[in-house]
Formats: sequence, C-alpha cells, structure tokens
Amino acid sequence: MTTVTTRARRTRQPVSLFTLLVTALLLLPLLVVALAALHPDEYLLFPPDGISLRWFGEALEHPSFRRSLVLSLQIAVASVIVGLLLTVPAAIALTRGNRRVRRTLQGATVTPLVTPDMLIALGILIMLSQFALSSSMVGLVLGHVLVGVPLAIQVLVAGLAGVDPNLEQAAQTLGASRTRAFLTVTLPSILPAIGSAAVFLFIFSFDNVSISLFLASPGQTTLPITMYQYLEYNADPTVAAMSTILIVVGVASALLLGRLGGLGQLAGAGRARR
Amino acid sequence: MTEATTHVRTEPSPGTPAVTTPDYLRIEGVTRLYPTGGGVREVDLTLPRGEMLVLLGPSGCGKTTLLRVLAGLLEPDAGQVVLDGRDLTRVPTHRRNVGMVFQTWALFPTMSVWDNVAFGLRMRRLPRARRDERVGEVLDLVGLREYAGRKPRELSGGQQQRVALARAIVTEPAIMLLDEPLSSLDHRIRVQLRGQLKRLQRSLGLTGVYVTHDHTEALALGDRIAVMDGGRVIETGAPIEVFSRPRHRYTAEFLGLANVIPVTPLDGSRALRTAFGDVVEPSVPVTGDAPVVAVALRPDRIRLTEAGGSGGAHRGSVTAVEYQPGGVLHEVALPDGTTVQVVVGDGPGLPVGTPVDVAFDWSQAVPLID
Repeated sequence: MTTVTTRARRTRQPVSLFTLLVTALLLLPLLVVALAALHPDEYLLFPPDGISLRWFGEALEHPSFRRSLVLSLQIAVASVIVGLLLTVPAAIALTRGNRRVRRTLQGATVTPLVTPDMLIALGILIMLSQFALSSSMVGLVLGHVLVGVPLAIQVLVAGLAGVDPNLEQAAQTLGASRTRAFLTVTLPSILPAIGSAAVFLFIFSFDNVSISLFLASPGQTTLPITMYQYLEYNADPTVAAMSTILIVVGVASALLLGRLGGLGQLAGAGRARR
Repeated sequence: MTEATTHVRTEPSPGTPAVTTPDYLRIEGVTRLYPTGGGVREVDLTLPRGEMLVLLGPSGCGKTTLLRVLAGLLEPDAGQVVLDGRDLTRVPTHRRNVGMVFQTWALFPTMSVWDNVAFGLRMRRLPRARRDERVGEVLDLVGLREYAGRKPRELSGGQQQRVALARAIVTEPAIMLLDEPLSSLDHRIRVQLRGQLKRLQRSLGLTGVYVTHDHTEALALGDRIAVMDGGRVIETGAPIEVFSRPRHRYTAEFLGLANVIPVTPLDGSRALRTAFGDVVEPSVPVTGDAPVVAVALRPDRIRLTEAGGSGGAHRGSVTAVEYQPGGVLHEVALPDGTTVQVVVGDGPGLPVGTPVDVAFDWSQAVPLID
C-alpha cells in the first residue's frame, strides 16, 4: 500500500532515502511470502531453491481454499452494496445538516475504528442469536460493513465537501427538481469518492480476520480464516501462493484507490484535486 | 419603504415611455431574517418589463438574500413576489422559469460547455433538434462556439462567466438574476463583459435583477438602482437620479462621489447652516418633510486657491493629495475639523501642508435626509 501512496502523489518530488527505507521495510514481508510461494518443494523456504508456479495451481485447486475464496468474494461484494446504501445517504445528511450535530455524528461513525473488533463481533453474535438468525453470512456482512463504515464515511464526506453547494441550486434555477438536481449534478461529481468508499469497504471485508474468526460457522469460513486454519497443520507453499494472490488483489485495489483519489481524500487532500 | 417605491413609479427614467407600464416584477413587503442577524426587511420594489434593476449595497446589506428569495432558493418570512401577474412566493425554484448567474458561476464541472448550456433545455424536455439549435445560437451569441467541447475548468474566468450567462439565457427565462457575476474577474475583462452584458440584455429585452457592491457597475448596467443598507432599500431611482441627486445621506456616503457636509436647518426658512458657518440655500428642491441633515457637494464644485487671495473663503490646509484621471484630488482640513475633498482639474496641484483658501459653490449642493 505504501508504494502506491507515494505513487498516487502526483508531484514529482525526489523521494527521500528515509521514505525509500520505510517503504522497503513495509514491503519486505510481502516479498518474502511471494518468493516463498515460488519454491518448488513441499515446505516453506526463503529464499526459494528454484522457481515454480506449481503451488499457485494447487492453491486454486484446493477445495476449501476455493470455497472460501468464493465466500469471501460474495461477502465482500455484499458488504460493498450494504455499506454504500448506508454510507452515501449518511454522508449527504452529514454534509448538509446542522454543523454541531455533524461533528458529533461524524465522531460517532468513527467508533467502530476504535472499538476492538472482538467486541463488535461478540455484539453481533449476541444480537443474531436474539433475532434467531443462524446464517453466518448475515453476521459476517454486518460485521464487515461496520468496520468499513468509518473510512467510507470519511471519504464520502470529504468528496461531498468538495462539491460547490451552488451547483445544485444552479440546476434548480434551470428547471431541475431537488432530486433531479442531486442525481444529475452532485452524484456525478462524487462518483470518484463513491468508488473509493466501495474499494475501502471491499478491502476491509476481504482482508478481515478478527470479525470473521468470531462469526464464521464451520464449513463457511472466509479465506483468511481458512488460510489460518490450514497453516496450523501444514507448512507447504500453498498458503504462500494463496497469500500472494491476496496481495495482488490488495495491490490492485490500492492502485484503483490511488486513481480515484481516495487515499488523498483520507489525507485531507481531497479538495486539491478539483 | 413605500416612499421609495412611489418615487420610482411617479418619476419614470428618461429612457422609459411616459405611460405607466404595468409592473412586471413586484416585490411586496418581503422579509427574510437570519437568526444570526442580516437578511432583508419589508422590501418593496417594482420593475417594468425589459429593464435591469441593480441592487447596490455593501456586503451584508441583504441584496443577495433578496435575490435568492426571487430565485426561490430562500423562502421569505413574509411578503410576496409577483412576476408577470403570477404570485411566485410558494412556487419552487425549478418551476419559476428564472435564469441565474452565480458569483462563483457554478458551472457543472463534470459536463462540457455544451452540456452545461443544454442543461436547462434538457430539463424542459425540448426535442433534441430544437435543443441543439438553441444551444448553438446562444454559444454563438457569447462567442464560445469553438469551446463547446471543453470542460469548464479548461476555460479562463471570463469564458466561464460567459458560459454561465449563456446557460442562464438559453431557456428564455422570465427574469434574469445575477449575483455579482463579474466580481471575481480582472478589471479589464470586467469592463469588457459589462458592456457585452448590457448589449445582450438590451437586444434580447431581458428583465433582470443584478446584485453588486460596485457603483460603476450599477451605473453602467442599471436602468434603475436600489441602494440597500441593513436589509432595507434606502432609495431607488434611475442611475442619474441616484448618482447626481441622491436623496439620502447614506446613498451619498456609500457612493463616495461627493463631499457629505453635515448641516442644521435655520429656523423659518429653507436655508441651512454648516458647522463652519456657511449658509446654504440649495437650488434643488427638498422632497418630503424629513429634515435635511447634510448636503452633498461634488469635489469639483469647490474652489481651491493658495492662502492669501480672495476674501470670504475659508482657510484650510492640504492633508493629502491623490492623482486621478480627472485631475488632482486634494483632501483639505478646515479649522473646525471638517475635511473636504477638492478636485483641481488642471495643474500639478498643491503639496501637502499648503495653507489654502476654500470656496464652496453652494448653488450646486444637494440636500440629504437621513
């Protein structure tokens, strides 16, 4: 993620040695995993003795990895949809509402970030059993949405704050009703922010361990959990290969975020792009 | 402010026909107050079809609030807005058929110039062919046809302003509302666009309300001017009336074109006395029964000579000198503490500190009420 942050910054300032060092340090574990995945024999070794893509095939063929990958993707997509349905209206209400209420509410939306994930998971677990909902899918989506909401809201609020409130009024003077003005003028302006929020929600769900650990039922485990369980009994490069696939998904999302400007919006530079 | 309104109604400006035209726009007792202060109170204004009304005043005087009430972007606490015989007060903005140009222009950043201009026609569901024809016409009118495919951010300020104008007139609005549309431009472009705007308004016969704090803009664009302060309309009239014959002390002070010299009425006559003892008998009649509190006298109606000359004048001294296109502006302090501005048309002027004799041509004084 760090390389992407530096790359997303459009300015062409020379990168300091310190930045390079920190970046390298952060990337090193990922590199070790990726290289270990290339080792041809049935044990984890770094640096690898040879180069083989065998374990990538194994990882993708492995039935429980495969099931988990599909489940993880389903849950992540569901989290994005549910998350956006919650956060987009919330962000609009936040930016247009009373200023004092806004600060309090925006503070409140950050609480999932500072609450231990275990507590959130426990809470959801208790709630679900109260409602007699046994499906772990609902619980997982709920939990994942909760941890993704704070960042998604921040990104959307930053995006909306950059839209001139006169735009919608101009559209109204030109004959657009309030709803139409929002849909034709404001919405297209905040599409990048919505995209960023969607990527954040996706990644937070796809990578989540702590909530999933609590809420996944046997036989319905998400990919990170399956990998964790696999590692308890096996030490072959399959896990490394699967991890590499996850890293690639992560890097791709981060690149996408960089393009959409979501990282900049988090750093408070959202307005500078307009 | 009924007196101001009657003033407008009974004294049509020279350009308008003497027959009383029915009021196209009528603002009646409009009040809109903010909890934090500001807003407008009981504003009455009228405007005939095809004319441009300029709301002139300092920031915070309520002129933008009034404009937004006209647009329907703000709901008045009281009063009504009637346009062409139709009460608009409860009509939502998008059904009012107004065209508005915002101070920030508010062009849609995600749309091209063409789509920006076409927006209003799309909302009115005009058939595509008619729409394209209209957009092309209007872009030609403002000279931006070749920029049609660009995004607003790829245009200069002046070009963006013209897009905003094109977008507002393309729908043939019943009324144009302009909120300081030129204030964020360079002086040169501002003057150029001001002329273009006036020609366009005249040739298309647009009725408009224009908000500004710049009195040169008001003079250039207005068919009538309403001077505002503290949420009220102080006075209205044709530009020439407001500028050369202001009726209120506030107007004269805000325009800053003349010396405002406080006076006290002399008992039993029309004459007035200044703080430094001169007796003034203005040739301009005083309207109404409000007491005259000051007179306005233009800086070129005061004569300045180096001390020691003719008698009957006041002794003062030059405290500041400023070179202006029309001559040299001297600030002169009189012994009683009054400072007046005097323009000397030719010559290099007198240096600061020079003792001078000041003579006033009181026949040109304009009486002012509060």
